Amino acid sequence: MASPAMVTLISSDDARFEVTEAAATMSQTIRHMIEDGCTDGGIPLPNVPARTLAKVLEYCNKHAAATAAESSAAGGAAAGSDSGSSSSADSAGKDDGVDLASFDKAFVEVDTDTLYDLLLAANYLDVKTLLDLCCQKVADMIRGKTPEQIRQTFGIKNDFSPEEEEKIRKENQWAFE
Amino acid sequence: MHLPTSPPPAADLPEDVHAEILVRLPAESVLRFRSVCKAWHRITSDPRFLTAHARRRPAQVVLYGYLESNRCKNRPLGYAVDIALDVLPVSGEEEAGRRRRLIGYPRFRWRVGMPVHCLLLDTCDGVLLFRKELGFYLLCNPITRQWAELPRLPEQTYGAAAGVRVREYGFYFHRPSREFRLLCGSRAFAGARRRGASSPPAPPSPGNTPRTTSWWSTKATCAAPRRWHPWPSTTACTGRPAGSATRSGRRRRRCWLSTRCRRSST
Repeated sequence: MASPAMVTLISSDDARFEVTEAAATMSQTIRHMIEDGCTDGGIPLPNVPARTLAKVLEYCNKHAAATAAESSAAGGAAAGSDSGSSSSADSAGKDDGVDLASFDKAFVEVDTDTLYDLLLAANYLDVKTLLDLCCQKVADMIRGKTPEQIRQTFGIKNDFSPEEEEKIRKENQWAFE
Repeated sequence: MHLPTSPPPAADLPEDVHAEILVRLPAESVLRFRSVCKAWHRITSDPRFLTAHARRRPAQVVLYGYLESNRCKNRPLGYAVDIALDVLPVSGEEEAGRRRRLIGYPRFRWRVGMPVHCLLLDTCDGVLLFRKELGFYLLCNPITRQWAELPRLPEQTYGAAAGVRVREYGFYFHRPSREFRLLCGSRAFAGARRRGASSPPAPPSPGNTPRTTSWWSTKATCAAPRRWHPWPSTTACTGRPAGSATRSGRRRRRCWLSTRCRRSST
């Protein structure tokens, strides 16, 4: 079996990361760069610092490995003639699913700064599943907050006049109770 | 490496990420966060956002029930009944079993001078259609507890004094325009006269040609229904809803009413 194709990613602070192409191409942004042949001397990612990129790659490596294991298990099951091997492959796939879910859950158990850095990176790198995961985590964190707390969290300036804000409050009074 | 002073790390998030977060929140939080800033208000009012949000929310049923009225003890027999609309989630973990009252109101007007209360006429895609009074309709989204008023029919198209009867024929979601529409037929009695020329807006009637149908279209943002092409004759109208048989000696007009009420159950 040939060794998997590797690519080099360069973070904003010039740290270099060597990853499999399968893991790197979970990012649509990187996939497009590879397709365009911009991989010579490594792929620069000027928006992602090393600390965040390492974390994103941890996620990509895990998920790419799980996808590979799943597809090989499925391929083995399809090719295999005896039912015993296919059922064992099935149960292995299921374990992976459970494993992956708990991995995801633990993955976003980080401090808020890291979470928002991850969110930014996932958005820039266009890793759909990671973006979903981080958005859901943020949503769970902010659902009970007041509008003022939200403005502080997201650094948003209130651009409503007091009258406008009161009007919106009145329209949705029950949501404020 | 940024320092954990000002501004907060989340300040750098682009607007589409804000939308991705908001779409994962329960309706209550979304409505509350509408007052955060104008951008969030715009994001959460966009029909595409609302549709995406609705797809993520657990299903709910609206229960239409009769209650014994406890508001007025000396109400005449048969009138002491209230209508109640309750919302009951049918799935979802935390919300399951949480039944809540949407609205309750007396079933009948039981004394002259008492305001007429809303009558539930129909539902479409989770939106409820109420008739407040003749020519005056309200839409309600029970999930967001939001109400929208359909533009009123021109006064000339309804009311006993004008010799016209109005009836609702269809309530549906019009996909191309993303609007909820109500089809009303208003029947004018041939012998009836409209009240003088004093009524300020020009009568929307097809004029002096008898047996003519007019089409009207309007949105919640418009002040009045818009007239469509005059229809030459009601007899040319095929596919008429049930119950709309014309009686001889009557002229018929039809009115389109529509509104941009949001379609989702956000």
